[in-house]
Amino acid sequence: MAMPQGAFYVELGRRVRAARKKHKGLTQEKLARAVGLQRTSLTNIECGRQPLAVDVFVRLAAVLGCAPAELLPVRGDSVAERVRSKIGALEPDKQQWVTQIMTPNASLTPSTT
Amino acid sequence: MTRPRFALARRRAIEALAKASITAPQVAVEDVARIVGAAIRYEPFAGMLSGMAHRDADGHAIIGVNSLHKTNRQRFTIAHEIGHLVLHLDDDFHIDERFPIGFRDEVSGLAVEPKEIEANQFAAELLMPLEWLAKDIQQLRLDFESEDALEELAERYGVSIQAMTIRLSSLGVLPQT
Repeated sequence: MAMPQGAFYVELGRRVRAARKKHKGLTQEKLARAVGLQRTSLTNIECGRQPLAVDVFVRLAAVLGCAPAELLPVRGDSVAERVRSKIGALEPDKQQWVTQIMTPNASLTPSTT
Repeated sequence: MTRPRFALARRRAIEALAKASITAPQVAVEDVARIVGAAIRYEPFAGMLSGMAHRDADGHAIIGVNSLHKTNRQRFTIAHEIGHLVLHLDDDFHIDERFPIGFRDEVSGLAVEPKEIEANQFAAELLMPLEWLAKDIQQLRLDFESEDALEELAERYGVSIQAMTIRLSSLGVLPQT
């Protein structure tokens, strides 16, 4: 099961890790034991390489002292960020062209050349 | 991904044509784009840039085309970008800064990335399906010794002579260049 699960689980894992780090001394080992997981499973979850059951997810939030919703990725966030950074890496004139294309008033008909 | 997935590219192209109910040339690439959920937008760019593909988190896709290019090249670009959208789902933003055809990077002399080769293969399979070409070559009794035959075929499929030449070479109809 430890394989890439997509952007959603990467972001979820990032949030779980960030929440865990807020608790001093809460190691992966300790958190895993508290929710009934193997340490390796928690490592995989934090890396976005393993999906998890809903009951485990709710227990994780409880142990981390946060609402389950806080651990959930906001839909579209990470995609938009990745896209923004890719566009930002382009040369200025290309950035401008891409921005034109992505704005709704871009031309919808081909020019005849 | 290390090797380009040629068979997958071909399969996806055949599926897209079937979904769009396209059975003869010229392939209406705009219709195929619509079928895969992509809106096409045209903007001019005076430089080395063919097109782009973007898919947002909700699955809506945009294909951008350099409107300064000739019609046949724009068609190939659209087909190439559709290829990225159906083959490379993990890629939410992609820009093609070079001429999308040709299997080698002319600037560095290095072979282009597998993703580009796959998108080119998809475009070739979409615009110039093997089955149709085979039939046309048989029925039209094309004589490839003459430039006219190539030109006629390229025109029929709405592709550049270069694209048709590469396609026929890779299918073994013309000698490899």
